[in-house]
Amino acid sequence: MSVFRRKPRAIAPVAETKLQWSDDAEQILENGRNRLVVVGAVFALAFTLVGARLIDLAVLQGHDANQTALNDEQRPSAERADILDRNGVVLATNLITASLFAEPRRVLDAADAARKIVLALPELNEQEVEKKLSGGRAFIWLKRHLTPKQQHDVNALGVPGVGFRDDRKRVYPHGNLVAHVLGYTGIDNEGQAGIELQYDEQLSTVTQKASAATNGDPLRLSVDVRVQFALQQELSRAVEEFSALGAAGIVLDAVTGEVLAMVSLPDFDPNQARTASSNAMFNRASLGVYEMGSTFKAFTTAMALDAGTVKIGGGYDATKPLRVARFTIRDDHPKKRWLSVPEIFIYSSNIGAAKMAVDVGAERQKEFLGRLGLLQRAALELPEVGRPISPSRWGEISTMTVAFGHGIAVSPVQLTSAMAAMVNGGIRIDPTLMAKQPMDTPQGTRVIKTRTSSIMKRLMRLNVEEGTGSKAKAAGYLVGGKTGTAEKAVAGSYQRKALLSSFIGAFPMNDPRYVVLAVIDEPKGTKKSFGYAGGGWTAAPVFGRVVSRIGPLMGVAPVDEESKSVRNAMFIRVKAGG
Amino acid sequence: MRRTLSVAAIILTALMSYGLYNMKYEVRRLESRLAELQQTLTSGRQAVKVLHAEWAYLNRPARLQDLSGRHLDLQPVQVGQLTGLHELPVRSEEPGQKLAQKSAMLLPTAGGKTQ
Repeated sequence: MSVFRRKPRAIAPVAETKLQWSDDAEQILENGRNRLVVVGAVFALAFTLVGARLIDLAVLQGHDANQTALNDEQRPSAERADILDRNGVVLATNLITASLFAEPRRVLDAADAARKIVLALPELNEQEVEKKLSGGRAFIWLKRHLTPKQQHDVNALGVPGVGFRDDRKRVYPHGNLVAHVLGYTGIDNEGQAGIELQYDEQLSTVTQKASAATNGDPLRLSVDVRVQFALQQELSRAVEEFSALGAAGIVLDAVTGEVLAMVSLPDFDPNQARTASSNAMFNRASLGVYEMGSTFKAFTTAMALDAGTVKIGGGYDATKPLRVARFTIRDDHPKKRWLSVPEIFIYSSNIGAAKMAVDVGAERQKEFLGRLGLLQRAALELPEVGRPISPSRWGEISTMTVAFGHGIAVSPVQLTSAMAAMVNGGIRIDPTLMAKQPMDTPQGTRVIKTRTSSIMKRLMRLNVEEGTGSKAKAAGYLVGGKTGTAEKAVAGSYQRKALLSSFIGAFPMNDPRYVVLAVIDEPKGTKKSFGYAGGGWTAAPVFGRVVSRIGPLMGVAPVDEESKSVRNAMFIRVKAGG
Repeated sequence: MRRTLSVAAIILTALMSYGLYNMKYEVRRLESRLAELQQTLTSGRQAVKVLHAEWAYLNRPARLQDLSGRHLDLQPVQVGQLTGLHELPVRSEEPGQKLAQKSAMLLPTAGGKTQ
């Protein structure tokens, strides 16, 4: 029975009314109770849900909440990640500085304010400051990155309408040392060159990332500052001694492909990159491409031995200069006789190398150098990587000149990486500037047979013992290598006096781990070098000294070079049948 | 019965309101403490960064070389100063006779040479 049926009954007998009342009231109460129960059930359900959700959040998902709180931790916004060397030494970091800004609308007397500010910061121009202050803009920077003393001085002036803001400045504690690898950043800490530009996105995307763990993780390079310093210092010495224009050097781990040091001289201070000249900024080690000269004979020899066109006991006649078309190929150290393959290598015979390459043929030479990565840009993590220059028409004459490193220009990085493949057992590995995990040995591609690589090691050792590279010796370390002396092509012709002298080698030669390259740009002969400025006199000693310094650092055990076992391991027959 | 229930409900409501307020103020207090800690953390981190940078700056190889050249008698390690364990001669005479025998047993290569 519904309540709505109830009608007022005004006049009714008392007894009857009473009975009616109680009847109705019971009905109403019944209805009311029913409704209360329904409403109560709905509320109870709602509260149960809320309660369940609370338990769910607080107890079951409590761990997640903790994580959320951790993630919530305020990281400094726009904080650029640090760059470290392979041992965790800081190479680039940020420091908080104060930057001076002005709100010109709130400046009362622009002329007076400008005069005062210039008093505290004499390097600013008063007219310019006044112009900035009197323009009706809302906000303007007056000077970025003040020193604490400057900040104090400006603060003491009490000029209204100017203030400081926390700013972050990129700082390179090592200054010039790793300049070309790191590059530098602009005023707003954006990468402008080197690693800073290459990894700009990765270094600057710090906040608002899903996982807190990867936020602001520093970038770890393969470079070792100690090795870098040894190389830089020895190259600087050579540049000074031989009044050279510049120099470049690389130390490469032949097994992992990691670049341990990369130096280009002259260098610059990335803390003040804007004042550096473009010559100093130029990365000779990766961006510059040069005709490398005789160091290419190592590739020619390996190629010929690997292809089987000549045996290690074979050789070529180098009695007379080689005439091809209008070119004449001569030897720098003429022996005027038949030379065996090891002799061609250690006396650095152009004629022998040219003949060796002709037997292999242009096609196979081109393909071989391509496999060594000498015909395309090096895959290094830098924006400044030079494109090699190779002959457009690879005819017989090109085959001959390329055999001894002329008519083809490559960057020092390419040369070093290709040389690593010669001595590490024949595997080419892309060079890298990123630190690798100790167990992470890259696959690489096989370019020469292990046997050929073994012969190359002996030849390079022999060259240091008896050939052009004797000044590269480093007592206690079994070094081997090849000199290179190339005449620089200036305005289309080769200059006899403008040389690019180099030495590339590896150590320890019985199981090469490190490849070291030293290139010196236009050294001048000195009294001490008897006027010679070739690779054997200028770059080879740099190599020797660098190896002596980094050998102990890298934990390479010294050996007695004269001991019988070492000599046997490095033995190679120089004269055919002799 | 009904009355006790009502009283209980009222008391419960009062208690819960009190608890809620307490909780709210506690959270507010904790939040300001959190902000404070985060502030300390940030400035601490910043200080660590500055110190790291200074450490790297003061440990520049060029500076270390200069300092050690001026104040220490240290020289770069010469090759002759390095040797392997197997090249060490075994101490055979008087004082460490037993020790030498022991080490000869421990180091078979070294022991092998003297026998």
